[in-house]
Amino acid sequence: MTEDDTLDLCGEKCPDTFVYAKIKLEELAYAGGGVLKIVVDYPPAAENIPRSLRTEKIKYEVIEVKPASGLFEILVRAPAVE
Amino acid sequence: MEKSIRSHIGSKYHLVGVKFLKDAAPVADEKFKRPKKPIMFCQAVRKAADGEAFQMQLEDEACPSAMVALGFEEPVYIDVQPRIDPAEIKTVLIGPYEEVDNPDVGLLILDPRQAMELSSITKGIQSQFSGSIAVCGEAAALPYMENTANVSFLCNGARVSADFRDNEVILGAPPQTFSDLAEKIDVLSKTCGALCGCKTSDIPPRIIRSFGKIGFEKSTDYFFGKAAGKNIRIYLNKDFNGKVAYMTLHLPIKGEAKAAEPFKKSIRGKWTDLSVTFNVSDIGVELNTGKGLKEFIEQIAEKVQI
Repeated sequence: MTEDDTLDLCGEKCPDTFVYAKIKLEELAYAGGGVLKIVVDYPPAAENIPRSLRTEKIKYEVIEVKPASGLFEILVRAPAVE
Repeated sequence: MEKSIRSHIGSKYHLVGVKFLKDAAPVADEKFKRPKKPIMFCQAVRKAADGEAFQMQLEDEACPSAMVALGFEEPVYIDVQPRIDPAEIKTVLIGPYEEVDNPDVGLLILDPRQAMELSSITKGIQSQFSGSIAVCGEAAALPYMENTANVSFLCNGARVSADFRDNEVILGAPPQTFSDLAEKIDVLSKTCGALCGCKTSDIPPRIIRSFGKIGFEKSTDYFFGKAAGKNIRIYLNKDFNGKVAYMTLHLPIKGEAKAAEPFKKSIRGKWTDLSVTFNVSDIGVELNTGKGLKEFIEQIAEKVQI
């Protein structure tokens, strides 16, 4: 699975991490959908972003959350939305 | 208990009680209301410090960190600490401490000075903090899991969304910690740990004159003189309403000395310290006029055997 775009949120903390992720994912959804790689260095965000996405009206799919050299990469598929 | 602690540190906030229930059924007590829409645990704590009470289940919780930290759900993607493990909690009660039946944890919003004052009484409080998962994890889950007190410097969510001020921290602790604190504060207030404002300069002049008339001189925080051939220090202590309510007699005796209850005895090198505290309203002495004061002090001093 390769991503269509990357959002680097290193240096950001919750709840800002989720806010920025949500804005970017909505942009992607309204632009026809795709996969977004979100990079965070704030460990709770690796749990919180996928958890918060469950309650969104747009049905995002969390493909993977993986540690990467002290960071975390979260791959999320945004569906196409009209 | 709450009154003692709040009065001592001068806090306008309630001590907040938190109880973790493994029962899914909502609590019938009307004072614990479910939030009308999901709120964050730290927001509920903040409101409880102002007197409100809540019961929260998973669907009432707006913060993803708190869902895990409070033991509503297991983490899915990474381990999250501190948290209630295993995640078996179905309902959390949050309210002013006295309104929560057998709380598991108490939470107290403090400024640094207040934290210092409580820490000096308990001979230290640990502070394990990370700037994340704070009110729910560091102040509630950690004391619950480890049965220890912890001061958290809060997290971004608590400060941004729950209106915690820049100069505030939060103490979370098991009930025993707060019971011990209250007990020590009460002892301090009665034995004049000089923390209750009972310096002799704060005592009305007519009471100072009463001691002067029987030959007792005024020192910084006690009167001193002799009765029945023994040196005596007398401390006057105020209650939390500012009224002179207690009188402590301290007899430092060089060498061995004996006195029956209610005297307390401690050894200090070659000295024996004997002390006893009375409620002024119980001893038939009028401090304002000095009536009965000399007789009472002599009667007490005679009970000490050298």
